[in-house]
Amino acid sequence: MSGVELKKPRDWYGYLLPGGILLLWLFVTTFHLVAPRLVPSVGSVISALFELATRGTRELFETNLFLAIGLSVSRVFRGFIFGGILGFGFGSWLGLSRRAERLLLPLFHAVRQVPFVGWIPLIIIWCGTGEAGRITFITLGAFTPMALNTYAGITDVPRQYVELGQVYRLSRLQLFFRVILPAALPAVLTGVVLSFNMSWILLVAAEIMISTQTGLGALISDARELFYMDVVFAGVFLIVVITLTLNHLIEILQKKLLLRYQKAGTRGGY
Amino acid sequence: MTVRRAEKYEGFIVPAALLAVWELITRLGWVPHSLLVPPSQLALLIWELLISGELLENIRVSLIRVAIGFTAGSLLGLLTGLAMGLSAKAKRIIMPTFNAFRQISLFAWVPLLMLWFGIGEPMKYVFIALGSFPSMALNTMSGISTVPQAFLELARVYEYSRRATIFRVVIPAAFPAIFTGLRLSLGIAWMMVVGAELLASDVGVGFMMTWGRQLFQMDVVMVGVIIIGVIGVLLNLGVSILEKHILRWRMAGRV
Repeated sequence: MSGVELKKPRDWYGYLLPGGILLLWLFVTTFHLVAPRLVPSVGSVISALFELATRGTRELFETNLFLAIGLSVSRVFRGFIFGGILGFGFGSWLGLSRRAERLLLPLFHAVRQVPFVGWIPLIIIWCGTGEAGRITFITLGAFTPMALNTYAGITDVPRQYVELGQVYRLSRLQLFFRVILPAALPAVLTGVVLSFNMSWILLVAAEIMISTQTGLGALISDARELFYMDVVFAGVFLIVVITLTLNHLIEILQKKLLLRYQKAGTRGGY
Repeated sequence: MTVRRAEKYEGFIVPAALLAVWELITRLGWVPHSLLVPPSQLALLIWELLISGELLENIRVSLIRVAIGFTAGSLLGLLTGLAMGLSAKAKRIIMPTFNAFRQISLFAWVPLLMLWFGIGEPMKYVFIALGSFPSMALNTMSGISTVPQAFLELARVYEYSRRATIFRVVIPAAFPAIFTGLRLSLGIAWMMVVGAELLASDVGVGFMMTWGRQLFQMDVVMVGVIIIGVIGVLLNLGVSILEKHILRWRMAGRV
């Protein structure tokens, strides 16, 4: 993921598997090979999407779909930004200060051994099941990859760069922003992408595991309790589409920034 | 890399200080026990739960669930990874869908799995298997595609059949990557079982924590967090030891 790839032409082979699954789905539902209770027909899922968008008649649709999506996306971004900034700060600190590294890194690695999901009961007690709990959980998820990658990126900056900066008598702040950070940028950007991915993963977990009333995950959970299989399918479909779109956008952003940095690098003549 | 003796123990300073402060503020009543329990009380509780056998029973149930789900998921991952690593065509067909699947939160499938499999054991197995699958497939594939060209040339010189090349050259060379996949997916499988048990179960480590939370027994919840971390580390360590043992032959040629 670190290298900048050239745009490749689309490979139609990639459509075979999703196409095959879609055909199979159409086949088993049109010939009633499985109960619609388990696998709803393609048509009913599409109409469920429409119903969701236009607030249909079933009691569930009192919740506005776009409001739910907006809430989920805003949760992701809040957690991602908090966690990303904290992780960047912590990772930089560990990378820059040998003392901080020796004192705090072992503790960080120890705490990291508990999978994110394991923190949920504790977070519920400390922050409640409301907005604070969910945002804390996502923040925790965004923090870790950001801190790890920033730390790794900074410790991998060649010593000579720093020494050269010192020869030019750069202040500590200048050294960080003009030498260390640009050199660590690829790793930092990888951290940004990974923590964004993690934020989405944990958002869905938070909306399903930490009891919620609003958001996309809650919508699916509600639909499940009412046995609206078509709505569950529609909701999962929406999560898939939104996740892939946002992850794709953030990767494009990453590549653009990397390309610009590499051009700047060659002009500067490293 | 030599580390000075004093530096080696510096990593313990902050945790020790944290523990001391934690103990102090909870003992002095500055933080209510409903939010934070003194570490000494946690240690005592772990001991009590160990003696009563409650803890071991919960761990045992969770580990059995992991064993079943992980075996299914990692086998499927191994096969998928082999297919993608050995056949360029299979990779072109599977990879885009696989990449998309990998990005989706595994928890998004929970409502679907609950409707298909109920909230009992089968749902947990499938959930854990779903989690164990991707890392295994990915690492097996990359292990196979990075087998050194020289190995393949040597196999050609010895006039190995395609089958012999795959089983006697390619797969053994990919072993370290496959073990990395095993270790990663076992870690995720462990997370998945905790998640599944938090959602719905009546026994297991995740259940123990939910139970503690509902009864406002903060100590049980915190012990749960610790136990989850410790078992995760032990599982990781177990795979590493197994790997060293099985891959002894790789070291044989080294001087």
